[in-house]
Amino acid sequence: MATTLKQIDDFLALKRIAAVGVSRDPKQISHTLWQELRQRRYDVVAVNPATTEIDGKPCYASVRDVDPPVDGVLIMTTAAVAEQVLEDCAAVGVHHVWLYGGLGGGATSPATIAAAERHGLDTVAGLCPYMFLPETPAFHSIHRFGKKLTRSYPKAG
Amino acid sequence: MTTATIVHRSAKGTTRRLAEAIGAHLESRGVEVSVQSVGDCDPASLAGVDVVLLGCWTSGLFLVGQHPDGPWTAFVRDVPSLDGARVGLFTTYKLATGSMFGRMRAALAGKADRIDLELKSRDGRLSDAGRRALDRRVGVG
Repeated sequence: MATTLKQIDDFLALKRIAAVGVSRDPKQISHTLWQELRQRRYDVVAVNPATTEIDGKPCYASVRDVDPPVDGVLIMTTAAVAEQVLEDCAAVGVHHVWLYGGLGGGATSPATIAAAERHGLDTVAGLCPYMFLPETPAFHSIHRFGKKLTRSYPKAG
Repeated sequence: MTTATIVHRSAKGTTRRLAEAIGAHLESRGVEVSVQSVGDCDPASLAGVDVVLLGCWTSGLFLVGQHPDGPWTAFVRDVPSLDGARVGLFTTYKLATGSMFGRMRAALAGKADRIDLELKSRDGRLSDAGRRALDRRVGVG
C-alpha cells in the first residue's frame, strides 16, 4: 500500500521517536538525520547495538530497551536488519514506523513492507524524512521535486 | 571566570564544527565554555551568561534571500533578554552571507542591547581574523 501524506504528517507529529541504525560517523545520513530531528526538538533516542553512546547521548541496543517507550520508530538499517526491528516494534506496542528509503532501498524492501503489514503497523515506506521537514538544504528540495516529477511523491490520503 | 554559551543550528555539521572551533578557542583563553545545539539548549539557561554566541547555517538561494532557518528562529524566539551579555553571531555559507546577519539581528531585536561580533566561515574552520575578533569582543587574550 502506498504511503500517504497523512501518514507522513502523523509520523512527524509524534514527539518521542527512536531512530534505529544511527551511525557514530557524523557524515552518515543516519547521523545527520538523527541530529536534525534533535535540533527540531523531537525527543529522539538513538538505537544501535554496537555502542552505548553517540555524541554523549545514550544509545540503546534495541527498541525493546528504550524506556520510557517511544511513539514511533524511524528505521535506518538495511532491510535484513529492519525485519527484526519491526518485530521489536510490534512486541513493545509501537504503532508508527518509518522505513527509511535511501539509495539501494535502505530499510525498505518487499519483505519489510510485508512484515510491517503483517504486524499491523502504520508504515511510511521508501522515503526520506528530510523531504518533508520544512526548510531543509536545497538538495532535499530537489529530491522532493524529483519525486513529484516522477509521480512517486505521496498523495494526500 | 568568564562564562560563554555557544548555541548552533547545523544542517550538515559545518556550523557545529565552527561552534566547536569557537568554543575551543575561548577555552584556550580561559573562558568556561558550553557548546550546545538548539535542540539541546534551554533558552532560559542563557540568562546571566557573560558571552552568548548564536550560530546558524545560511539558508536561502545561494546569492539572495539568505536567512536563518525555522529551528534557529524558533529557538531565538524563546531566548530571554540578553542585555548586559556580550552577544555575537556566526554562520557558515556556500557563496555569500548576504542578508543572513541582518535577518539574525532582526530575530534578536529587543533581546540584546548590542551585537557587535559577526563571524562567518565556509568550511567550519575559525580563521585567524575570527580569533582576533573573538578576543577583542570577549575581552580576552
